Amino acid sequence: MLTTLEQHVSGFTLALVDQTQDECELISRIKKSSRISPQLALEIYRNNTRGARINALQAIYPACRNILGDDTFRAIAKAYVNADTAGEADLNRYGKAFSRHMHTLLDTGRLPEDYAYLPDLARLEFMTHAAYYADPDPKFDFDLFEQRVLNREQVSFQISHSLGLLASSYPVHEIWLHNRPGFNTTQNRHQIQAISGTQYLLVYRDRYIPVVVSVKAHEYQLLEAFANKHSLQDVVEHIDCDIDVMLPGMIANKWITGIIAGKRCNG
Amino acid sequence: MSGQPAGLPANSVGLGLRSAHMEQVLLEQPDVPWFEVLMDNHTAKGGLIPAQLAAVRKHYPLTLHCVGMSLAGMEPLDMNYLSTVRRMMLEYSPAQISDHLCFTSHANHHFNDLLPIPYTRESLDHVSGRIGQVQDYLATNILVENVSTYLQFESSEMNEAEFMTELVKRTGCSILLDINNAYVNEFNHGYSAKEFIDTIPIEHVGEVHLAGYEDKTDYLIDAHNNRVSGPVWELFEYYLQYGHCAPVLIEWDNDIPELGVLLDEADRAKQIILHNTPDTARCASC
Repeated sequence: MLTTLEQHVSGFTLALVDQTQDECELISRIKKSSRISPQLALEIYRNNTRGARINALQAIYPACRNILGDDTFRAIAKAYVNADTAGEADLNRYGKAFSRHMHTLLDTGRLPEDYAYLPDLARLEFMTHAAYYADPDPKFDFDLFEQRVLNREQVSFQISHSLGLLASSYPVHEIWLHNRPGFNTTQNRHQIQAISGTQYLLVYRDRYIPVVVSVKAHEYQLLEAFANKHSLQDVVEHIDCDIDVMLPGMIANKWITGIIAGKRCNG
Repeated sequence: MSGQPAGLPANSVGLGLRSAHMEQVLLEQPDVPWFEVLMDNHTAKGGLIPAQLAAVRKHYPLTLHCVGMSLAGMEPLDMNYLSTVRRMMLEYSPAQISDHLCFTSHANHHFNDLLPIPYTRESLDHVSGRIGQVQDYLATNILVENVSTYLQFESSEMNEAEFMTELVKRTGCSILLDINNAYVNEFNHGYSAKEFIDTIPIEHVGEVHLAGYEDKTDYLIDAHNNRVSGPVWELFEYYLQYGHCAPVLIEWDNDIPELGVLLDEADRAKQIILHNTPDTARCASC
């Protein structure tokens, strides 16, 4: 049997997350003597939660906001917040699925096709945000690497906690650079050109600052394979690249930070 | 941890450390006796945030103010969250740790807001137990803050001040007296904020918060986006008549202004303390 406090907490939170619920029972438990009606009180609490989450999205996605304008961004953010009732305890981690939300808006015609690049831009923005807050990485253990190679173990590599990988058919790197806060539009008037093929981007944290760099396809594939824990042997067999040349650079750049047991793929 | 906590000067006026001011604080090292860190915004283990906090800590005492303990929640305590608090205690040696008399999550939903409970004997047992668990885990007593509310419950068997007084008796926790919240509640619900101050055990107030509310004409929102309002300064003067010398914080969390504005507010608080704390009564309860 639920205690009074459990009933209160359950009823209150249900009213906050699901406005279709019958609020009569909860409202009957709220004192009427206040300046604020029970219905208004619930709406204030809903607004507080919504406001905190929308503010978080505005902070995480400044370039998307700059492109869409405040009102449109806020409307899109509000719809996202309303759909995501669970939220996140840590607002610094909130909004990961915002890119997917934009995809849905495009697919259903609620966002014009002109904005087809926005989901990729949103992913890039979330990656830079996540890189800023990422856990620190250990130092690469060369002795352990040598030992495992000598033992002929299936090794793979741990990539940096801050590393993000994005392949896009849009020039999202340039779009991001041109729409970040503080970008000087009077000094940088050149048009962003469409690209043919795919842009491969890598996000990582260089000491304190998130950095976005454009990389070659095979560099991207290599890091993606390691991110998926594929073994070094698999990578050598399936990706056309000079691993002896690339690996030291990736370790020096701290994109690769450790050694883990590798898995063999089937195909 | 009753009264003035170790590490924070009596009657001192600290500021909330916000990321917008971090570089300026590190560069100019303004004359501020201590800073409050909003724990939930600074949990990163790597990157700039811990580096900056460590640098600030070299020059200033810090307090850790939390919003995620959900002290009145029905779910088991979030041990990941508490372990983060403990890690940050080890890293920054905060002078004190605080959270609110409310719940913030339920059934895997996180509200990012401070949600009220009915003040019943059942709630008292429940919240006391949780505060006890938190204090045992952190191996220190915490401060519990009164929150602004927009509704009250018919089932309440006591008022907020009586509830907090009992919490102090049962758990040994201290009170973080938010004078802005007390005033917002007075305006919204029509009960006396002075009576609230008169009822709580002043000698167990370990910190005082001053902030600005948002006036919606018919009601007030605890928005922390303004200068401290006139009625809140007046209520602060009323509190000071008790001669208690708990450290005071200027809180400003939204629409954050230049650091100079916060320093102005802190100066005003210092002047009010100077003019309203009788010499004979100063620190009498510490």
